[in-house]
Amino acid sequence: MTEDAEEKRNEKTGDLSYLEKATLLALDELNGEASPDEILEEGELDKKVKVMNAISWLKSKDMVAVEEEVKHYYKLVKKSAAKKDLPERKALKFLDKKAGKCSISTLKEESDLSKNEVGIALGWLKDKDWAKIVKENGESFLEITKKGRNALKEKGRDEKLIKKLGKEEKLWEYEVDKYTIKKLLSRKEILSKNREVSRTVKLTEKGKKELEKGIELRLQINQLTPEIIRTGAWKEARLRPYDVKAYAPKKFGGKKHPVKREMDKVRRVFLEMGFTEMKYDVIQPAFWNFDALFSPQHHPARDLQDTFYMKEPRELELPEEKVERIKKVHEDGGDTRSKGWQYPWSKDEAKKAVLRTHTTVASIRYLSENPEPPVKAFSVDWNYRSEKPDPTHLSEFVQIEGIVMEKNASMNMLIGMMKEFYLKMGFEDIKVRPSYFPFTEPSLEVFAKWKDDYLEMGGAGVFRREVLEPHGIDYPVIAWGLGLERLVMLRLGWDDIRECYSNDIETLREYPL
Amino acid sequence: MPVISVNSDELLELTKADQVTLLEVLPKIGVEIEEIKGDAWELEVFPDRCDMLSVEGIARSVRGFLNKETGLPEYETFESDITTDVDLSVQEVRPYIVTALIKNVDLSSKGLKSLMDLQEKLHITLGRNRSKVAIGVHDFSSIEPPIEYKAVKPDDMSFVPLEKSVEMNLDEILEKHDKGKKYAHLLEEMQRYPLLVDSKDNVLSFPPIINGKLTEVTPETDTFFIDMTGTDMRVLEQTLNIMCTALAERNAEIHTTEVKYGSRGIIYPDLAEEDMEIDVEECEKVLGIELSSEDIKNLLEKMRFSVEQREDKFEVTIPPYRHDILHPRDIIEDIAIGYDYDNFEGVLPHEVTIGRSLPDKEFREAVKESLLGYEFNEVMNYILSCEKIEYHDMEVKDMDQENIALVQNPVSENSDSLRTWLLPGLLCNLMENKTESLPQRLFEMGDVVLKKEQKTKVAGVIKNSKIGFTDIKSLMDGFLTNLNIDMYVEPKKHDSFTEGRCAKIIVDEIELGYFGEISPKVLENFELEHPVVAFELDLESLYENRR
Repeated sequence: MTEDAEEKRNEKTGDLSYLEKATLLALDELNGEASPDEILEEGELDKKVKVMNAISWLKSKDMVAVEEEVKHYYKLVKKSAAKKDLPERKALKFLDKKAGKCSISTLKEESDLSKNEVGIALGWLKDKDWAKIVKENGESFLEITKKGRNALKEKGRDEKLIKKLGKEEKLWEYEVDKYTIKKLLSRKEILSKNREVSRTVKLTEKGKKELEKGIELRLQINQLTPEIIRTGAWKEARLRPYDVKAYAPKKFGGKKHPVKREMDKVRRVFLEMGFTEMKYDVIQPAFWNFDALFSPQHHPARDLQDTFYMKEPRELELPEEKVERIKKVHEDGGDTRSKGWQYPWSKDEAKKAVLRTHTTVASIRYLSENPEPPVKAFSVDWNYRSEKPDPTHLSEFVQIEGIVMEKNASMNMLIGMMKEFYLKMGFEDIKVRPSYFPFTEPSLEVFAKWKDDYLEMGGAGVFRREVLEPHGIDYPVIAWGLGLERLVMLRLGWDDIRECYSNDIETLREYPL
Repeated sequence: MPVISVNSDELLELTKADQVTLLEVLPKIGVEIEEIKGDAWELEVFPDRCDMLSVEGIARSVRGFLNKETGLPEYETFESDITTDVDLSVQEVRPYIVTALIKNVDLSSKGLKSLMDLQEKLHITLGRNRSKVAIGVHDFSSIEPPIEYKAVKPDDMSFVPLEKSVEMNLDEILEKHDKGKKYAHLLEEMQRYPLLVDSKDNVLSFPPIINGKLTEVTPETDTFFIDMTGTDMRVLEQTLNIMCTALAERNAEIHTTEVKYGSRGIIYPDLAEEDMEIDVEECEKVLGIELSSEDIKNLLEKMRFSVEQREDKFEVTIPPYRHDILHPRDIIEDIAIGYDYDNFEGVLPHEVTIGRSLPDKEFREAVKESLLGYEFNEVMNYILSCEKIEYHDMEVKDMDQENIALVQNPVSENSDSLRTWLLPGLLCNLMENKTESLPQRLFEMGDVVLKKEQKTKVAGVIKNSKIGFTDIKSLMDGFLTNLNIDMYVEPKKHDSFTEGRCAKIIVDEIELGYFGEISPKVLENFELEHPVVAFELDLESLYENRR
């Protein structure tokens, strides 16, 4: 920070800068009144310009008053003048050599006076009454006077002054004789008259009070360096205080992706409740994605416009031991007391490879591998729907899925579970309403209160017998799912679901944790 | 999910309820209120309850729920002598038809609109956009029975279709009529088209496309003839029942008709109710609440079933419009709805379980923690990708075509395959963030999907005005040390990296991944103007090869 900038800052804070403090202290030493030069000499200051700046800042704060006085002084135009004789003195000496009298033409021809000096010499010889001009036989002669003879012994006042100026360089108005000065000034190129403003700085009452408060003067340091620390210089110095309100740009470190953070939170919630994480591939046979979940093969959700089918791999192997049972359940309900969907079930249709449309596929696969209670399992993973992305839809999205199988699982337990789960996810108030899913009955929709509204959060239900029976599961299973992105959007105040995966670096750096 | 628009005054009148009650009750019976625009209410009905796709159907359920009218709705039927002969020729094109005669219809403007709406919604839902069910509603006064359902050659017959005033043959209708253009695909590659004509050979309908102008319904119509043609007889019967009972709710008379397949005649509509048995214990077990027999009986009647108790079992009679009841469980759900979901207090699971993460979860966290320490920001990209970005833009010449998983019906060409590595996505991220401040450090840990396997990878990129191989090598060495892996490298040739500035990491002769400087050609492809260093590692291999 420059001193000016520092001063600007201090204007706001009311602090005194180092220079101001040093100036005040010096003035105090000088009995409250001094010139800037004296202050410079007395105080802990190194340059006059700094003193002058400090004085003007102090003046603006009413801590000092400055009196200005204009004084004149004289000095030689050419310093060499002090060592030379004036032209009239040269002429006087020449006249003395010629026994007190010689013609002007002789003076011109024989002396070392220049033609110009001869004229000056003649004028001043006459003015000072050192010689007089007499005419004989039509020729002008110079003849020394009594004053002239005396002048040979003692120099005139003007000459003495020149000599003094040669020694002292400058003489104030009050040091010189006005008459002599006037005479000398009338001559060209000998003397110059100059003016100087002299300032007297005086402490004001306010300045004195500031001093009474006590001023501690230490050397200021802007940047702490290894050198300063090593040498211990900081002990004698003061680290200059900064304006802590001054602007500094924000700095962000590495962060997890907001959706991943939410996934971690969901995992924590499930793990705390005793759930085990399940993970299955995103490419699944339609068998697991639809047929095993009692979605009939003519169901609109299985259309190409809703589900991504794979070109490679086109088909996947099915678990043969389950195929017959699933087929029966679809065609006539098998041993489940269900009427089934009553259509001819196609194994080829079931083999088709799809990108799973829901993580319920993980639930049913996990249950088929773990058919004995108790089971508590969850997944939070990608799912796919053949939809063009827009502010409320994605073709690829993350779903949270939880299942509980135990001997007494029921719709009432499902609702209890929903209250607990959503509470742990940060929703204190939920309500449930009827809903429909092909694989659960009863089914319900969970609405959670967010700000003032109940928002539709996700679905839940008790797995149908048609879903469980083919795997030999005799116990009730309750299941629920919800979209993960929705949670992220609520927490971050986003209204376009695509923001979740825009991976905008500014957002990734700056979103609140 | 189907949404129907109903007139609120009409709904209030038919339900004999006030508005506040109605708004509270509708969601409780599975009808979501989508939007209220004055007296037009947009109501969403679940796809299993097509019987509620009309104001009449919703009102029927609401009256039950409010105990204003409980038990099985009774629909009287009368016999008519109208027959429809089905010619064998329709077997190949659209084999089944069901019919009904409805008299005394109230075609006030609201009633007509409701009927048209129901017809339209049934077409979309149960009818699967007319492929499974196409419905024709006719003014009976212009029809001379008996009726014949047959298939004809496209240019064998001409008639004036609805919305037109000139005769058109069947092909012309498919080519020129709006409805023809819309549904022509349903008759694609058929030699003959289905047609419904009366004894005078007047065309009632050209299903599933359009009706004839002759039998157009007008405000003066008081007797309807309804035909439904399709491919699934069971669904046709259900749809006919829904439509007829909805009309009967407005005091119309249902008259049965006969459809004859040769000598075999079937009487439609068949409003005979089905019975299903449920038992109290099962009901309590599924719902997890205690219910007395009396409670169950009352709740079922509220939901418009009729019930007869036999010891601890109930014989439940299902109304003829309920096409969704497949299993006793479906009836139990109705008991829950009648009980009101709000009245379930909820209990927590009783059995103790121990929660378990996926086995490498902790290791994944360590990987992430380490990278966050290097000030990387995590990104999350879609698994759906495309070959152009994965190979072409990355300058990869020897793509492993054998292993790429491809989508048959992508929504865009940017998502026609599944990603096999993470760096292309990360370079896309850099491209989309070109103007953000440097340095940019991004990483992703995510799944890649090959044709036969799915695995997890971790990859990262750093873009800075000055960055090079040594920087990424230092980082990798430190990173792997964090993960308790000794780094040993060998030169690697990789098309996406500058030659001589890419290294593979090897542990026990297994390549865990690679790192290096992205080649300027690839940078150019992604419109990047600063050097980028990158790494991509196989997470499972890292996990298995840690010390």
